[in-house]
Amino acid sequence: MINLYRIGIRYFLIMLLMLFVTGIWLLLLHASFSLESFTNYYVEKSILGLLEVTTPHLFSMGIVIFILTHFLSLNKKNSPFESKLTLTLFSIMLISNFSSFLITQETTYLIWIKIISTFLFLLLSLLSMSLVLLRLK
Amino acid sequence: MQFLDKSKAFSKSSPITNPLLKKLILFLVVTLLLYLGLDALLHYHQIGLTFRTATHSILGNEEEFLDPILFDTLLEHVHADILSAMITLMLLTTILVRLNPNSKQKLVHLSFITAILTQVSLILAPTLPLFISLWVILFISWHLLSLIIGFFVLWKLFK
Repeated sequence: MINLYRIGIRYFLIMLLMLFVTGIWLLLLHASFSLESFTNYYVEKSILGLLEVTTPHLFSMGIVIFILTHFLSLNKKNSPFESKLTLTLFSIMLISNFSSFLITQETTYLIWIKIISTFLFLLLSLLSMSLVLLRLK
Repeated sequence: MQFLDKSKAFSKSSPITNPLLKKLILFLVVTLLLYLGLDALLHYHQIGLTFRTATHSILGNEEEFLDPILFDTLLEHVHADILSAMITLMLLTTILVRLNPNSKQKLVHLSFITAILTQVSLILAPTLPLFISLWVILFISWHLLSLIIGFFVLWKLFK
Protein backbone atom coordinates (compact mmCIF):
# COMPACT_ATOMS: atom_id res chain seq x y z
CA MET A 1 0.00 0.00 0.00
CA ILE A 2 1.22 3.50 -0.81
CA ASN A 3 2.52 5.45 2.20
CA LEU A 4 0.13 8.37 1.60
CA TYR A 5 -2.83 6.00 2.00
CA ARG A 6 -1.45 4.95 5.37
CA ILE A 7 -1.17 8.60 6.45
CA GLY A 8 -4.76 9.34 5.40
CA ILE A 9 -6.09 6.25 7.20
CA ARG A 10 -4.19 7.13 10.40
CA TYR A 11 -5.68 10.63 10.44
CA PHE A 12 -9.10 9.12 9.73
CA LEU A 13 -8.71 6.94 12.84
CA ILE A 14 -7.68 9.95 14.97
CA MET A 15 -10.74 11.90 13.80
CA LEU A 16 -12.97 8.88 14.41
CA LEU A 17 -11.65 8.72 17.97
CA MET A 18 -12.45 12.44 18.35
CA LEU A 19 -15.96 11.72 17.04
CA PHE A 20 -16.45 9.04 19.72
CA VAL A 21 -15.07 11.28 22.48
CA THR A 22 -17.35 14.21 21.55
CA GLY A 23 -20.30 11.80 21.18
CA ILE A 24 -19.79 10.34 24.68
CA TRP A 25 -19.20 13.84 26.05
CA LEU A 26 -22.51 15.04 24.55
CA LEU A 27 -24.37 12.02 25.92
CA LEU A 28 -22.97 12.65 29.39
CA LEU A 29 -23.83 16.37 29.17
CA HIS A 30 -27.43 15.52 28.29
CA ALA A 31 -27.97 12.44 30.39
CA SER A 32 -25.17 12.53 33.03
CA PHE A 33 -23.76 9.46 34.79
CA SER A 34 -26.78 8.23 36.78
CA LEU A 35 -29.03 5.51 35.40
CA GLU A 36 -32.14 7.48 36.37
CA SER A 37 -31.22 10.63 34.46
CA PHE A 38 -30.07 8.51 31.54
CA THR A 39 -33.48 6.77 31.46
CA ASN A 40 -35.36 10.06 31.89
CA TYR A 41 -33.48 11.54 28.94
CA TYR A 42 -35.10 8.97 26.63
CA VAL A 43 -38.46 8.70 28.42
CA GLU A 44 -39.03 12.46 28.27
CA LYS A 45 -38.14 12.76 24.59
CA SER A 46 -40.97 12.90 22.05
CA ILE A 47 -40.96 10.73 18.92
CA LEU A 48 -39.85 13.80 16.93
CA GLY A 49 -37.02 14.43 19.40
CA LEU A 50 -35.87 10.81 19.09
CA LEU A 51 -36.08 11.02 15.30
CA GLU A 52 -33.94 14.16 15.33
CA VAL A 53 -31.21 12.23 17.13
CA THR A 54 -31.57 8.85 15.43
CA THR A 55 -31.78 9.96 11.78
CA PRO A 56 -28.34 11.66 11.45
CA HIS A 57 -26.78 8.95 13.62
CA LEU A 58 -28.16 6.12 11.50
CA PHE A 59 -26.73 7.72 8.37
CA SER A 60 -23.33 8.66 9.79
CA MET A 61 -22.76 5.48 11.81
CA GLY A 62 -23.59 3.35 8.76
CA ILE A 63 -21.12 5.26 6.59
CA VAL A 64 -18.41 5.22 9.27
CA ILE A 65 -18.74 1.46 9.91
CA PHE A 66 -18.55 0.83 6.17
CA ILE A 67 -15.38 2.91 5.76
CA LEU A 68 -13.76 1.51 8.90
CA THR A 69 -14.44 -2.16 8.24
CA HIS A 70 -13.54 -1.93 4.56
CA PHE A 71 -9.99 -0.96 5.64
CA LEU A 72 -9.74 -4.43 7.21
CA SER A 73 -9.70 -5.96 3.75
CA LEU A 74 -6.91 -3.78 2.35
CA ASN A 75 -3.95 -6.11 2.75
CA LYS A 76 -5.44 -9.54 2.42
CA LYS A 77 -8.60 -11.35 1.44
CA ASN A 78 -11.56 -11.27 3.81
CA SER A 79 -11.57 -13.85 6.56
CA PRO A 80 -14.72 -15.09 8.37
CA PHE A 81 -13.65 -13.05 11.44
CA GLU A 82 -13.85 -9.77 9.54
CA SER A 83 -17.23 -10.66 8.07
CA LYS A 84 -18.55 -11.50 11.55
CA LEU A 85 -17.08 -8.32 13.02
CA THR A 86 -18.70 -6.19 10.30
CA LEU A 87 -22.06 -7.92 10.67
CA THR A 88 -21.97 -7.59 14.47
CA LEU A 89 -21.01 -3.91 14.28
CA PHE A 90 -23.87 -3.14 11.90
CA SER A 91 -26.39 -5.13 13.98
CA ILE A 92 -25.33 -3.53 17.26
CA MET A 93 -25.45 -0.07 15.69
CA LEU A 94 -29.04 -0.71 14.54
CA ILE A 95 -30.05 -2.07 17.98
CA SER A 96 -28.42 0.91 19.70
CA ASN A 97 -30.25 3.41 17.50
CA PHE A 98 -33.70 1.81 17.46
CA SER A 99 -33.78 0.78 21.13
CA SER A 100 -34.30 4.48 21.99
CA PHE A 101 -37.84 4.23 20.59
CA LEU A 102 -38.70 1.30 22.89
CA ILE A 103 -37.85 3.07 26.16
CA THR A 104 -41.08 4.39 27.71
CA GLN A 105 -42.40 5.03 31.25
CA GLU A 106 -43.53 1.39 31.45
CA THR A 107 -40.44 -0.17 29.85
CA THR A 108 -37.62 1.67 31.60
CA TYR A 109 -35.67 -1.60 31.96
CA LEU A 110 -35.04 -1.46 28.19
CA ILE A 111 -32.49 1.27 28.88
CA TRP A 112 -30.08 -1.63 29.48
CA ILE A 113 -30.37 -2.63 25.82
CA LYS A 114 -29.39 0.92 24.87
CA ILE A 115 -26.47 1.03 27.34
CA ILE A 116 -25.09 -2.43 26.50
CA SER A 117 -25.44 -2.00 22.72
CA THR A 118 -23.81 1.46 22.78
CA PHE A 119 -20.98 0.15 24.96
CA LEU A 120 -20.50 -2.88 22.69
CA PHE A 121 -20.55 -0.66 19.61
CA LEU A 122 -17.77 1.50 21.05
CA LEU A 123 -15.77 -1.54 22.12
CA LEU A 124 -16.02 -3.28 18.73
CA SER A 125 -15.26 -0.04 16.89
CA LEU A 126 -12.11 0.38 18.96
CA LEU A 127 -11.20 -3.25 18.21
CA SER A 128 -11.68 -2.64 14.47
CA MET A 129 -9.62 0.55 14.69
CA SER A 130 -6.76 -1.26 16.41
CA LEU A 131 -6.92 -4.05 13.81
CA VAL A 132 -6.74 -1.47 11.00
CA LEU A 133 -3.76 0.19 12.71
CA LEU A 134 -2.00 -3.19 13.02
CA ARG A 135 -2.46 -3.85 9.31
CA LEU A 136 -0.99 -0.50 8.38
CA LYS A 137 2.39 -1.50 9.80
CA MET B 1 -12.78 3.77 -1.31
CA GLN B 2 -10.90 0.54 -1.84
CA PHE B 3 -11.91 0.65 -5.50
CA LEU B 4 -9.54 3.56 -5.78
CA ASP B 5 -6.64 1.63 -4.29
CA LYS B 6 -5.06 -0.04 -7.28
CA SER B 7 -1.59 0.03 -5.79
CA LYS B 8 -0.19 -2.59 -8.12
CA ALA B 9 -1.41 -0.72 -11.17
CA PHE B 10 0.21 2.54 -10.12
CA SER B 11 2.55 4.04 -12.62
CA LYS B 12 4.38 7.35 -12.21
CA SER B 13 1.46 9.38 -13.52
CA SER B 14 -1.29 6.83 -12.80
CA PRO B 15 -3.89 8.08 -15.33
CA ILE B 16 -7.48 6.95 -15.06
CA THR B 17 -8.53 5.37 -18.33
CA ASN B 18 -11.98 4.16 -17.34
CA PRO B 19 -14.39 6.91 -18.58
CA LEU B 20 -17.07 6.01 -16.00
CA LEU B 21 -14.59 6.21 -13.10
CA LYS B 22 -13.32 9.51 -14.48
CA LYS B 23 -16.87 10.96 -14.52
CA LEU B 24 -17.58 9.57 -11.04
CA ILE B 25 -14.47 11.21 -9.63
CA LEU B 26 -15.28 14.47 -11.43
CA PHE B 27 -18.78 14.71 -9.97
CA LEU B 28 -17.65 13.60 -6.52
CA VAL B 29 -14.88 16.22 -6.38
CA VAL B 30 -17.15 18.97 -7.76
CA THR B 31 -19.75 18.07 -5.09
CA LEU B 32 -17.09 18.16 -2.36
CA LEU B 33 -15.81 21.53 -3.61
CA LEU B 34 -19.36 22.91 -3.54
CA TYR B 35 -19.81 21.46 -0.06
CA LEU B 36 -16.62 23.17 1.15
CA GLY B 37 -17.79 26.53 -0.22
CA LEU B 38 -21.26 26.21 1.31
CA ASP B 39 -19.82 24.99 4.62
CA ALA B 40 -17.69 28.14 4.81
CA LEU B 41 -20.75 30.26 3.99
CA LEU B 42 -22.82 28.46 6.66
CA HIS B 43 -20.13 29.00 9.32
CA TYR B 44 -19.82 32.62 8.21
CA HIS B 45 -23.51 33.14 9.02
CA GLN B 46 -23.73 30.87 12.08
CA ILE B 47 -20.53 31.81 13.93
CA GLY B 48 -18.72 34.33 11.77
CA LEU B 49 -15.34 34.05 10.12
CA THR B 50 -13.77 37.21 11.52
CA PHE B 51 -12.40 37.50 15.05
CA ARG B 52 -15.02 40.14 16.00
CA THR B 53 -18.11 38.28 14.73
CA ALA B 54 -16.91 34.89 16.00
CA THR B 55 -16.22 36.36 19.47
CA HIS B 56 -19.69 37.90 19.56
CA SER B 57 -21.32 34.60 18.56
CA ILE B 58 -19.32 32.41 20.96
CA LEU B 59 -18.89 34.68 23.99
CA GLY B 60 -21.96 36.90 23.44
CA ASN B 61 -22.21 40.69 23.37
CA GLU B 62 -24.10 42.70 25.96
CA GLU B 63 -24.34 45.81 23.75
CA GLU B 64 -26.07 43.85 20.98
CA PHE B 65 -28.04 41.68 23.46
CA LEU B 66 -26.37 38.52 22.18
CA ASP B 67 -26.23 35.55 24.56
CA PRO B 68 -23.09 33.38 24.59
CA ILE B 69 -23.41 30.08 22.75
CA LEU B 70 -24.37 27.13 24.99
CA PHE B 71 -21.54 24.64 25.44
CA ASP B 72 -23.67 21.64 24.40
CA THR B 73 -24.69 23.49 21.22
CA LEU B 74 -21.02 24.16 20.50
CA LEU B 75 -20.14 20.52 21.18
CA GLU B 76 -22.94 19.32 18.86
CA HIS B 77 -21.52 21.64 16.21
CA VAL B 78 -18.01 20.19 16.68
CA HIS B 79 -19.37 16.61 16.67
CA ALA B 80 -21.06 17.15 13.28
CA ASP B 81 -18.07 19.07 11.87
CA ILE B 82 -15.62 16.26 12.75
CA LEU B 83 -17.68 13.76 10.76
CA SER B 84 -17.96 15.95 7.67
CA ALA B 85 -14.29 16.99 7.76
CA MET B 86 -13.20 13.38 8.25
CA ILE B 87 -15.17 12.05 5.28
CA THR B 88 -14.38 15.04 2.99
CA LEU B 89 -10.62 14.88 3.59
CA MET B 90 -10.50 11.08 3.42
CA LEU B 91 -12.24 11.11 0.02
CA LEU B 92 -10.15 13.99 -1.36
CA THR B 93 -6.79 12.56 -0.24
CA THR B 94 -7.68 9.05 -1.44
CA ILE B 95 -8.52 10.41 -4.90
CA LEU B 96 -5.38 12.58 -4.85
CA VAL B 97 -3.17 9.57 -4.12
CA ARG B 98 -4.97 7.51 -6.76
CA LEU B 99 -4.34 10.17 -9.41
CA ASN B 100 -0.90 11.22 -8.26
CA PRO B 101 0.90 8.63 -6.09
CA ASN B 102 3.89 10.97 -5.81
CA SER B 103 1.88 13.79 -4.20
CA LYS B 104 3.52 15.84 -1.49
CA GLN B 105 2.96 14.32 1.95
CA LYS B 106 3.01 17.80 3.51
CA LEU B 107 -0.27 18.78 1.84
CA VAL B 108 -2.07 15.73 3.22
CA HIS B 109 -0.53 16.17 6.70
CA LEU B 110 -1.34 19.89 6.78
CA SER B 111 -4.95 19.49 5.64
CA PHE B 112 -5.71 16.79 8.25
CA ILE B 113 -3.83 18.55 11.08
CA THR B 114 -5.55 21.91 10.45
CA ALA B 115 -8.95 20.16 10.30
CA ILE B 116 -8.28 18.37 13.62
CA LEU B 117 -6.97 21.53 15.33
CA THR B 118 -9.98 23.50 14.04
CA GLN B 119 -12.30 21.26 16.06
CA VAL B 120 -10.05 21.33 19.14
CA SER B 121 -9.83 25.14 19.09
CA LEU B 122 -13.62 25.47 18.73
CA ILE B 123 -14.12 23.32 21.85
CA LEU B 124 -11.61 25.49 23.73
CA ALA B 125 -12.97 28.78 22.30
CA PRO B 126 -15.23 29.65 25.29
CA THR B 127 -12.24 29.43 27.66
CA LEU B 128 -9.83 31.85 25.93
CA PRO B 129 -10.39 34.44 23.14
CA LEU B 130 -7.06 33.30 21.64
CA PHE B 131 -8.71 30.02 20.60
CA ILE B 132 -11.43 31.97 18.74
CA SER B 133 -8.89 33.69 16.49
CA LEU B 134 -7.06 30.37 16.17
CA TRP B 135 -10.33 28.71 15.14
CA VAL B 136 -10.97 31.35 12.45
CA ILE B 137 -7.45 30.91 11.00
CA LEU B 138 -7.52 27.11 11.14
CA PHE B 139 -11.06 26.87 9.74
CA ILE B 140 -10.14 29.01 6.71
CA SER B 141 -6.84 27.09 6.32
CA TRP B 142 -8.34 23.61 6.20
CA HIS B 143 -11.01 24.73 3.76
CA LEU B 144 -8.39 26.38 1.53
CA LEU B 145 -6.12 23.31 1.66
CA SER B 146 -9.04 21.04 0.78
CA LEU B 147 -9.98 23.35 -2.09
CA ILE B 148 -6.36 23.19 -3.34
CA ILE B 149 -6.46 19.36 -3.20
CA GLY B 150 -9.83 19.36 -4.99
CA PHE B 151 -8.71 21.68 -7.80
CA PHE B 152 -5.43 19.78 -8.14
CA VAL B 153 -7.40 16.55 -8.57
CA LEU B 154 -9.55 18.18 -11.27
CA TRP B 155 -6.43 19.46 -13.04
CA LYS B 156 -4.81 16.00 -12.87
CA LEU B 157 -7.99 14.35 -14.11
CA PHE B 158 -8.01 16.35 -17.36
CA LYS B 159 -4.30 16.90 -17.87
